Amino acid sequence: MARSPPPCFIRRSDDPLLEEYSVARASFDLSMTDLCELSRNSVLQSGFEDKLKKEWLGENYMKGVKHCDVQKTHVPYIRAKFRAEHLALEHMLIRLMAAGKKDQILKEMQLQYGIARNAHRSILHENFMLSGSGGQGQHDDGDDGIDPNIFAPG
Amino acid sequence: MMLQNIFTPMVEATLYPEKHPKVAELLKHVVGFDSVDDEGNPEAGCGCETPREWTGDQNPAYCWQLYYLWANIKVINNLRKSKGLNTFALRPHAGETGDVMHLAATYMLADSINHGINLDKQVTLQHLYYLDQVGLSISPLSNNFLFRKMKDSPFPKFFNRGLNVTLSGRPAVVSHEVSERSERALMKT
Repeated sequence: MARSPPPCFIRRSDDPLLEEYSVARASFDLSMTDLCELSRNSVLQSGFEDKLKKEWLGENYMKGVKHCDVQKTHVPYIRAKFRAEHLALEHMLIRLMAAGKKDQILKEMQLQYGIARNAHRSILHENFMLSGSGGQGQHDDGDDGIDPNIFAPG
Repeated sequence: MMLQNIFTPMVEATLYPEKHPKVAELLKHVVGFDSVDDEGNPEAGCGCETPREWTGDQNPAYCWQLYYLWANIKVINNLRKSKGLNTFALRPHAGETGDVMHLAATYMLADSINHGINLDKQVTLQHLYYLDQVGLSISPLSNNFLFRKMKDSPFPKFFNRGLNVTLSGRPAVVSHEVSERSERALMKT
């Protein structure tokens, strides 16, 4: 196990739970990070006393998943950050929609995603396009121009 | 009256622990309540009767049962909090089968729920569960035998979307009955 004794295993070391984890791991193709995240959720949801949870998740776990102790939960910071940011973004969108700014946001999002996509595409073109095929950096929209061998070595 | 049988001793033990030392000690080690039934059963409509007025043979509606369970737990929790004692969570079984709208009731009343696999049939509720990070404790293995096959389990989808999911073993009561079969399942995978 990536996490030597996960707390929920200690407390409920009956076979069923272990089975559940290993079957889920096998059939849903979960990584160790996923399993650690699941057992962290399990501790968060459980009814254990605050003192024990602090011991298992880190002093500041109450502040949110980003504040759990990585050494203890073995959930990488980048995963916790991803979850927290995603949730915060969703809350923000809901709040903006409630304020009646739906159309405005949609337009803004389309614009921003468009800019990001174009930037991404021009990086690909500038760095990986074989010289001579197509105008450098100038392209119309559509799946054009990118050489299938761009990631080939050499 | 079931509600009375459950909650009256609890209130008394909370108010007068010296009279009921055993119950009072037990309550200190209780973290929550679950409610389990076959949700697929046909249920009566959700009316405004009080539990005392419920005299029919049929089971009352899921939402109705849950509401009174929640209301009683809430009262006891307030009482216990004022005395500096531990409080109880409500974690019913919900959305295992039957009406999807059971999950709407638990969204409003429960701290976290068990199963909830029916959420994949109701995207709006799923989003609400995500936004408020209501805990889902799913056991794909036990669902495998009872309601939903492993390959159709919404668990990976929920997990990827960031719902607050975790895995749980099946309740102790049924575990012996299915343990042999699940070991075989383990071997198959």
